[in-house]
Amino acid sequence: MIPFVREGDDLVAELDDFEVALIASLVSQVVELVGGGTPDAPSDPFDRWAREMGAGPRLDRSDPVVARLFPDAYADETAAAEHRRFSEEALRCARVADSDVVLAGLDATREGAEPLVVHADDVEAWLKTLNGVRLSLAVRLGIDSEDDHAELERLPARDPRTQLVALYDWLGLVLESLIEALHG
Amino acid sequence: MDAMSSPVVPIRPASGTAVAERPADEALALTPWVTIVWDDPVNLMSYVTHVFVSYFKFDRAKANRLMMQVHTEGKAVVASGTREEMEQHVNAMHGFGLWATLERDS
Repeated sequence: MIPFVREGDDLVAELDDFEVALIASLVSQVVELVGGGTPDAPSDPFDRWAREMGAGPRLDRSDPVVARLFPDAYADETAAAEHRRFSEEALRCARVADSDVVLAGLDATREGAEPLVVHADDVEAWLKTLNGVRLSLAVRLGIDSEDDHAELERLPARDPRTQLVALYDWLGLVLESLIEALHG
Repeated sequence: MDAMSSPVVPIRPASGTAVAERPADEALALTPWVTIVWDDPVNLMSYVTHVFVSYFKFDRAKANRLMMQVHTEGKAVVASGTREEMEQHVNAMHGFGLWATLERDS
């Protein structure tokens, strides 16, 4: 990756074909995990409302990644469940829509042949999506504290987790680069 | 604490503020609610600061101070107001992947 730089209102980076495919794959995995896209958003306001009221795909909260991406809003379990009933579907749809923005942006690089261009309006979608992927990897790696991460960094090379750790660190660099270019 | 706070296993960061039942007491009902952001070892410091600037429109100094408070003290109150407003803020924080809860201000 050649880190992000600002070009007018756009933030531009260069990724090679492998990196483009890697991010696309990780983003797609998260989309799948949260129940995928809504195939055709109902145009009828009532249908849309009904869907937001809980007619959408139910999330498998026993998966710790799902639980991390959709945390409880209240310490009290009953209040948290009630809150979730009214907010979860909107959050889920927003995450899927943001992922679509990222996948379209990656697609536009033609497998890394063209620079990756993140338009100003798409920056938040990119940040949220990359961060969501990073959170998911952290859950899979069991990173619950700073010490956990330090320990993972010391794993022997033959440990199957080392590749995931490298990926997690790399995504951190991509994210950091995007934030720096945005505010720098 | 109301009657709903039967033994709660503290698997979530905030504890002790049971809110399932809206209180009848008028004064209590007027007590503002707060949005709390909790520390986690994954979200980058620069990312958390960005979220505070971008969503709450805090200036960078304030955003940075709150981010450091989250990081060093484990949590920070980032907003206060009505329950509905705080629910909106918490939803937004969850959209960014930050760990946030709301509770009645104590």
